[in-house]
Amino acid sequence: MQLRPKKQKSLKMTLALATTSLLAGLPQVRAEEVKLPEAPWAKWSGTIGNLYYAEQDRVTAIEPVISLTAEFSGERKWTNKFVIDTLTGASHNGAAMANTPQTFTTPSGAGHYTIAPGQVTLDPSFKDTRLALSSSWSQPLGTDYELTAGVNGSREYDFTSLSLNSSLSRYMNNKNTKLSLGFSGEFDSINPVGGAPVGLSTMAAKGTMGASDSKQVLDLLFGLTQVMSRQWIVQINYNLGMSSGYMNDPYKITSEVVAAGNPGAGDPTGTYYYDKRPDQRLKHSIFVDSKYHTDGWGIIGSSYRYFFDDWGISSHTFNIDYRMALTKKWFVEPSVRYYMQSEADFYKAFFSQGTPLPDYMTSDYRLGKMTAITLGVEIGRKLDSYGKEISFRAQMYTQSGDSHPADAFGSLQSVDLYPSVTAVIGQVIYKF
Amino acid sequence: MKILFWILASVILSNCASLGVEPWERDLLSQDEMTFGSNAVELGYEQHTYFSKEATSGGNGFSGGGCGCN
Repeated sequence: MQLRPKKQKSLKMTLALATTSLLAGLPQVRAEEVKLPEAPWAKWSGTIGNLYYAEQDRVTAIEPVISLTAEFSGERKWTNKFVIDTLTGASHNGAAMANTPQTFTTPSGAGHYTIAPGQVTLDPSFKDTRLALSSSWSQPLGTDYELTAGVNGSREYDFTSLSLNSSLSRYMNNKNTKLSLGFSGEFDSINPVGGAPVGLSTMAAKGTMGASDSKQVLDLLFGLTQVMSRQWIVQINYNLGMSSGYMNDPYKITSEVVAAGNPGAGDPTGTYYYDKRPDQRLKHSIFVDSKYHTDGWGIIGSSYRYFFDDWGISSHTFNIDYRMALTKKWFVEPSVRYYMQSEADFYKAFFSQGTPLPDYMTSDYRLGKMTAITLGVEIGRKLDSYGKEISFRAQMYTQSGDSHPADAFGSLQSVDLYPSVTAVIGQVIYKF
Repeated sequence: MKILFWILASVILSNCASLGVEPWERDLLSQDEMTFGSNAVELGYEQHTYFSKEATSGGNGFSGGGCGCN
């Protein structure tokens, strides 16, 4: 009889103990979760991309990229990027189009190629592979500052580049304003095929300055980013770039033509001069960028850049894009870019025989007066709500200049002195 | 010219202090697509393409291209 109450008490106690330990167990488990050792990085993310770029009758490029970012505690980030860039096809050698056949020596000096009358002077021996690696670290300094430091290196068979950069940002006004100051120092080594030609030496009597030469670029970048409203953010940058060293294009030449008033005026004489540019260049850019969220389905991005340098080039670049959400996951983004530049002081589409040689001369179409338009559309899909996304982009780029300049004479008037360039660009990007 | 620059800079900065949002109004601004340069790989593709085809570089980043393409 004495055992019964004891037994009942024991059962009650057992139940009470079990319930208590069950209830007590929950916070214990939670406490253990909190105490788990911290992961070496809090978040891992990356991007894989590929670019296909093809000019009509000229260069084709394929450029796969992989970028990986490790985010550590305290908003510290380490980003590494690896790029391979493969180029094949033909490159414009700079000589003016002619109504007669023209024969050129390849850059190595070992071969020749002939361009038919009325055809663009393309050097078919163009081929290159470029490998580029970059690494950057960024972290907050206290509550109001952020520091970024990076290194970039790239190698192609005739060019090696190494650069270091750093920037410091300061957040103000409740993080609605960001001021940045950055610098970059780039050191390039150029080893052209066939040696670096002496500027303005002729193709027939090519002089070389040695197997290699070098160039340095120092950049300063001042930036202001401002939140204008809940939907609108604006950025203004000023960039100063100072280059010095070898800036000639070792593969570009300028045609000498028979002077006006002579038999065969405007025809090539068969003499071609190697490119020669100043060994200093000071570049200024003012860049304004804006993003406006419609608070519904779209984001409107627009930017403008004004550029000028001491080579006499100035340019205007306008860009506008509109990212529209089609559904919660799918989006489409049409874009337009318009670019116009003036020519360098020493740009010449041709050189007239018998006139004094200038100090500098180039017929590189990229330093000539031109306009360029890019039309594009991107379509993408969000794969989760943590930034995983895939997107495809198609673009068409056209570049055109002064095909019939006012100073052309004789047979030059019947040829295209600035053949236009059309390229199609395809891009796929996967973010994870 | 210098005086004009400093007047302009101080006007911009003093106006900035009255602009902006409160932390709880950042729902749209915190989206990735509202951050400048958030799609770094795409920006890299654009800068490399235009650096190799045009005389202008920089502004939205440094002007050195790290490339023998121009």
